[in-house]
Amino acid sequence: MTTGRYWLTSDGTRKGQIWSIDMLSGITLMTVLILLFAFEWNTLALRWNESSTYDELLGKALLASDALFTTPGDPPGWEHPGMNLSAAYAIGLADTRDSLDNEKLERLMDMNSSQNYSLVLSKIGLAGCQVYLTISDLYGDPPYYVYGQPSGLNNSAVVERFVLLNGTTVAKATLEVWQ
Amino acid sequence: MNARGQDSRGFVITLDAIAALSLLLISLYFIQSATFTPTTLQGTALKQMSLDTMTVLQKSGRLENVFAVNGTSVEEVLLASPPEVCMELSVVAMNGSVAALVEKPGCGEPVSESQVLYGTFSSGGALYGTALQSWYNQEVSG
Repeated sequence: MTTGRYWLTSDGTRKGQIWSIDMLSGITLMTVLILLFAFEWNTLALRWNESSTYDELLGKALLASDALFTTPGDPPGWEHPGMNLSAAYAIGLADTRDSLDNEKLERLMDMNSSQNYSLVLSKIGLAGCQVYLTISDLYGDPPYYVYGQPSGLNNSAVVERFVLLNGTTVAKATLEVWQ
Repeated sequence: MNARGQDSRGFVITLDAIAALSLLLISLYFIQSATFTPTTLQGTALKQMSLDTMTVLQKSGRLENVFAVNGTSVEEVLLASPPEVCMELSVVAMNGSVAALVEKPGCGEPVSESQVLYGTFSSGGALYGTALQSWYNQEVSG
């Protein structure tokens, strides 16, 4: 008993018959599915990559904000006029945790020029990145202190912290980091 | 073989492949729809925010005023935290009774993954315990 459709050739072997409409529709359907699969996979790969880059930036921003707002820097007197910033190991703005020192803040603001920008970033662990730092009242504006320029991006890492100015005034510090 | 005498084995195999690939596509769609959240770093950020909040509340003297002005100066700080962060400060007397409770408005009940920061302070000659509970607002952080 035989099944299916076939031709018998002169040498007695069987040749299968291809149903062109079935085959075409099958191939089309399969191609569409494979293309959809490739598109989805590519989208996922892009998202994972973006997520990984954002994690890296957020990690750097968290560390830099800790260095700035919870430590006095190394050496602690890096802000003194006679001190060469290149010789400092790290920059910190705090006297004690979250309590910012006015002199350190003023010195940082003095170094807002493009010449010192890279040097400052290297001292807070953000070499190769860009930053925008603001310190404002609890309602966000106007800022008391501004360092750098905002990115205008929507995928930069932003860290918000509470700090004290003059020992008693509660303020909000916002650090934006991007590459 | 079907009723017309046609062999349909080839179709069955094609349907299997299509069904399998469709299932894979559906799975991928759901994975793509999920929100990717860097849990560890978010936890670190929340811990930093909690520590900062308690530090500035204590050092600025706002914590001691939590009874005097119905906690409004404390609430002002909690309100200034990022929109996706929720906080609730409980002040407990040494006899265990709740002396004050300040919540950030619009947060609802704490979710399971929350952090609690404990501390103490003295006011009017009495010692009080504090518990600052913080968590991410699921509606805002998505």
